[in-house]
Amino acid sequence: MKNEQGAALVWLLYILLLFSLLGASLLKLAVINFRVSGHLVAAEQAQYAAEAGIDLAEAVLPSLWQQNLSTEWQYEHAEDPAFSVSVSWQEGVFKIISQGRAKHLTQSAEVLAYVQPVGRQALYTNRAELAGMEIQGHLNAKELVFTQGESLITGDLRTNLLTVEEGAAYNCTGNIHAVIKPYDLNINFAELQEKAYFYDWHIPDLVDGFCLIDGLQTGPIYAPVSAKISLKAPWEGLIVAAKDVFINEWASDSQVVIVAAGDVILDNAVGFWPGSLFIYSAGSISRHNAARLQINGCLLSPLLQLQNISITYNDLAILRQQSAVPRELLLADPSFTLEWLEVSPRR
Amino acid sequence: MAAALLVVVLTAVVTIMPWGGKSWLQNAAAAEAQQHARLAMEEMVNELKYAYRIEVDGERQRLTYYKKRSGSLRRYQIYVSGRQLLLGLPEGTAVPLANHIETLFLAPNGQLQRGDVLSMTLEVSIASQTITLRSAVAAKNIAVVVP
Repeated sequence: MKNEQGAALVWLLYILLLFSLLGASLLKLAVINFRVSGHLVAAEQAQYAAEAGIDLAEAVLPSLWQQNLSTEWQYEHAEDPAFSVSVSWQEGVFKIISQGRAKHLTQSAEVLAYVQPVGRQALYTNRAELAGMEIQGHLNAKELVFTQGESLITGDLRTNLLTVEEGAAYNCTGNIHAVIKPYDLNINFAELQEKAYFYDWHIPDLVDGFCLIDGLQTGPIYAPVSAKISLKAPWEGLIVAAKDVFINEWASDSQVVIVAAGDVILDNAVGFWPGSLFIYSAGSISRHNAARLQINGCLLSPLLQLQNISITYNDLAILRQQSAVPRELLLADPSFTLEWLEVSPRR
Repeated sequence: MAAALLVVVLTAVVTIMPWGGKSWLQNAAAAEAQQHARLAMEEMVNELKYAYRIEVDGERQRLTYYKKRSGSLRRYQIYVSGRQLLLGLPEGTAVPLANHIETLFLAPNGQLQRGDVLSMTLEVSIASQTITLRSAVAAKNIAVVVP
């Protein structure tokens, strides 16, 4: 019995050892959990830092669009969580690449920014007189008069002075703003004429005193007198006219930019015109016809007098003619559509 | 003295051990449920973040969304089948995202518009341990019209 003295102490120490091991294991588990949590937090911080870089780049896009597009823009934010962001112009679109860093982790974000030179505005003018219009896109007019019939605007409406005459009505699905983007487009036609002669743009033959454009010529086209457009085949390009333009016929899938020093008249235009039509007129753009005309494009002029047109905002034509069109049109009211790319798609 | 201390320690161990074991099992089940819920939520947020179109069918606990793959939009689905959360791929096959799912609550219902935030509540249950996890996602490419 005497030899067994102290056995309890051994057992006690054994149990204490077991508890110590258990405690150590739990402590290790807690440390691992803590590290995992830290890792997740750092990953989130890095992701948000990368997105902050994208936001910053988005804010500078308008000034980049105004400058030389071949210049690459970069910014580095050194404080943790840090980010570095770059913007480059690639194949008609801005590509934004941003990398966020938090502790030892890096996350990336990539965005394509598509420019819309007139900010999704289907009609951009100083004064608009509209009747029975269907507009998909925004409408920006200092003075706006609905003269007759019902007009529908699927987009925002910006105007300082709105008048609805008797027998007329309108419905706007977007927001109505009293603050407008003032219409201040002025194209230097003397400069355009010089450019046309210098680069030897096509000058159509005169028929009955008008330049006749039928889509068989290669662009760009310069019309020193009034022009009549009756496209016989799909045509893509820029038409600059020193005087008025009458648009009569359209060929499906044409992409046409018209820049006219005089008025643009669409009275004989009827039916559905698939493609893209961008019109700038220093005078007015008008259409008086009971039959409907359906187009995709943008109409820009100090005065719009339009009746029975369904217009869906589309800027493909002007974007395709970026190198030829006057720079003022590209800078009218640019906005950007961002497309976020999945950097590491899982599936 | 040592014997008395041993008796005290053993009494404490014998008393606490079953309760501690049960508590440990419950905690382990809760932790596993938490892991399933977190994994499922993380997968869903990641999938939906870059979607171009999302349709919510709350009643059937089903999300249909469209992502760009190889330049074109492809249709994906996230839905609850039995107690599994599945991801239906454009090829027609489905892969499991998580198990032990009780319910998936989605709001708002219908097709999401630009600026809408999809809120998701996931209930996961293992061995009577139920974990409820909530998250929200604003898909960045909703209604983006790419030329």
